Amino acid sequence: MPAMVSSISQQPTQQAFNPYTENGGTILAIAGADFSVIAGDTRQSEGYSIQTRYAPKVFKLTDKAVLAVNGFAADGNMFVKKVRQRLEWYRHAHAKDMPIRAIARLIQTMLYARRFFPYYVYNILGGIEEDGTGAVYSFDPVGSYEREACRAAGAAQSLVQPFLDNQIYFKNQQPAPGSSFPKHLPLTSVLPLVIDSFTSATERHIEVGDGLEIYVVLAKNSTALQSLQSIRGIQEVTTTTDGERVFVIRRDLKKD
Amino acid sequence: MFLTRSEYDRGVNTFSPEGRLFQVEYAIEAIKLGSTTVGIRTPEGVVLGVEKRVQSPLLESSSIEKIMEIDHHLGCAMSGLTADARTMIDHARVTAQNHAFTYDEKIKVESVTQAVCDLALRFGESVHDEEALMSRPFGVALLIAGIDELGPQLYHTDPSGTFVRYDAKAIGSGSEAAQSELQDKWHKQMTLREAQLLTLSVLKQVMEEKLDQHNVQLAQVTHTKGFEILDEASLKEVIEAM
Amino acid sequence: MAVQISAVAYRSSYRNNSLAGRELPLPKATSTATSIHPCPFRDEIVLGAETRATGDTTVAGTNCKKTPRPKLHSKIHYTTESIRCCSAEPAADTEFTTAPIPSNMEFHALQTARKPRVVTTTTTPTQMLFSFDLYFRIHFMLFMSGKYRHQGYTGADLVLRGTDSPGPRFFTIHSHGSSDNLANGFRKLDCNGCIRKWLGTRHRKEARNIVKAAIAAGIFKDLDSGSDIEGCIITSTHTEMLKNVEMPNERVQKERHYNFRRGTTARKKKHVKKFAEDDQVTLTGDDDMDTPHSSLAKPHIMGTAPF
Repeated sequence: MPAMVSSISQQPTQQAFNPYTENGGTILAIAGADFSVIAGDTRQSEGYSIQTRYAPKVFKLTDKAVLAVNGFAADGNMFVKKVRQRLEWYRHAHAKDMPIRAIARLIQTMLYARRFFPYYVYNILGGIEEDGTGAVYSFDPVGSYEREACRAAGAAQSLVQPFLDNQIYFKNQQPAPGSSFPKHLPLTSVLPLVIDSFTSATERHIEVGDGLEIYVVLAKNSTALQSLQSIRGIQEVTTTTDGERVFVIRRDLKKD
Repeated sequence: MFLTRSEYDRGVNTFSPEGRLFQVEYAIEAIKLGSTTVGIRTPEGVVLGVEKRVQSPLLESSSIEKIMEIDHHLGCAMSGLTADARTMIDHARVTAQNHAFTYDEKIKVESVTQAVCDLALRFGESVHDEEALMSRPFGVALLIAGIDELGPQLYHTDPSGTFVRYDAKAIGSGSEAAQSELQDKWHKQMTLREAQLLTLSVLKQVMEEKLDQHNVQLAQVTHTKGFEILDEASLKEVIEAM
Repeated sequence: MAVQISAVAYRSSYRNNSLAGRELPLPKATSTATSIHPCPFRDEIVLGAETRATGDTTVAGTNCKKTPRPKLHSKIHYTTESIRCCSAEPAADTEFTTAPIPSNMEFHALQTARKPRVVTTTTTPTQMLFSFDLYFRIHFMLFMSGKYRHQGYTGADLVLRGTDSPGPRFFTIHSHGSSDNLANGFRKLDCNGCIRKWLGTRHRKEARNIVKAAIAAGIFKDLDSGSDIEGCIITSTHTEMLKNVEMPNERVQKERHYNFRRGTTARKKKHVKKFAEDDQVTLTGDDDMDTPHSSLAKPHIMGTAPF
């Protein structure tokens, strides 16, 4: 078959397969004194097409830990599955739920284990620390992590993070003379900020929208419980009777 | 071919018709030849004490190591074939370090005990055609002391891989007498000092030689300082206080 | 060879491509997104478009009506009274490609004493786009041994629609300059799916609904399209603009008001430079509050919070 014989002048061609894709969407988490809020939109897209309007990016791991994953959705879903499996193994081996600090470290070791073929996901872990304080841990895809008061990640990170820096950390704001800014905001201030972050990101970013899922984790006997009563459509997803409590709030976002 | 009764104690993983694993039972017997080792739990911490048998005046007693650190919050005392304990403690140390690396927290006392006991049962196990890693059961029992979020705890492990939590436990040659003494004297609100004194007095009763700072060793795990082996001066001070 | 004088300078393109090869690409142009759709019925045409403008993944504009120069940002460009041109892709390119058409058509109308036909209208953008392309071809044949990959550099895709003597006409003009006598929505399969319903449309209302459905499909299913539906109805004599036919994506009320206390922004230092000598002021009033200071007095800055 002469046609099959390649001529000498033919250039070698390189074939490449890119196993990753980017599925848009945005997540954020904010830590309060005795609560933590973890939220994400529910749109999943590829290129200029919407794959689904409801693909959760925020997952309850335990009664005191919620994980938000953003980036490549397939990797994200598999990563959450593996983290949950490790949590279950830990529960069997050590007869307790893994503390959030330990989950944070576990996520680092799991991510770094794949240093040279990473899970293409940005993780934000929120929940309650062993000492009852609200915690947010943020990760890069290969496991660098840090405990913070707030963090946004994903498509609209560049829109949301400066907003949070200004509203949570009071960056670029001078306090009124003789006063100072609070270290932690109450839940009644945090929830509107979360909702406004997402409605604004939806207005200005084409990959954000459709739905919003907000998880609220309250420490044992948190005073923030009172302020949750009046919230429309709030749903409790706690599994144990005493200890931390987890709630989820769902909202619509623009669908264009 | 039918095996005669006495032949069931040849294989490490062959049950006798009565359902016994003789090699494991013999390993447990080996511990009864070991020096007496005592552990006492108190709300303040756990005390471990061992008798060092100084068989010769030329022997450097400080070279006898029967209490070892597993992690900052975990210690271990042994009785029986102490060389076997090294393998187990190595395993415990690796397990504890791995846990700290992966979870950024101290491993629980029960978890590290479980890990050691998992190892204890791996004798006679072979993978594919390879030789088994361990040919016989360990001939040593351990008292694992530690503090975690559940407070001070004391665990006892034996060659069968069984582990049990105790408030106070004695193992080794003088364990029977020592255990009944502990049963009489131990109480819930014991202080660490009382536990140190009780450990020594129990050892004193079962030892043939006169107890001094050279033929016993004391260690403790406390909330504040973690695991520590008492140095000669502090040991002498406790002995004098007896 | 003499340098060709053109309204558009291409001299930088060789440099730009060389920079792009070194990972210094050109800045992204604002795109006027992409759902545009026509539907003819009897001797009229309904045209629809959505109103989102994007720059990469950022929504650059949501509704033309709210911009100070509404015409400039609309995707439906005036061509003649009975011809409109819908555009997609880089906003600046479509603006400048469509901008000369109305005057050219007006000249043409005056010169021929006839209403321009839609096919005539295609010539201006076609030639314009093609000439840009041709220049590129020569340019690169000279320097890059005949690589053709920069055809379509000016990224304008246009759909011209209008009614003329033979009746409703659509033309699509591609960025390379080629044109087709076709009826379709642009690039968006979501829109094209709706066109099946077009066959046999007899009523203006039905045509409007088809266009609305097609554009709505683009708005909700295509991330590059969004916001509102705008449209127009073109008859042989005039065009009726239908701004905001439907507004299915109104901004929602924010949960909080973001007002900042006066003095929120830190002021590191204060420096006042005088550009003119103060007038010497003679005191006449007796009210201290209204007394202007002399040039020797402390300078007072307008708008400085008194803290």
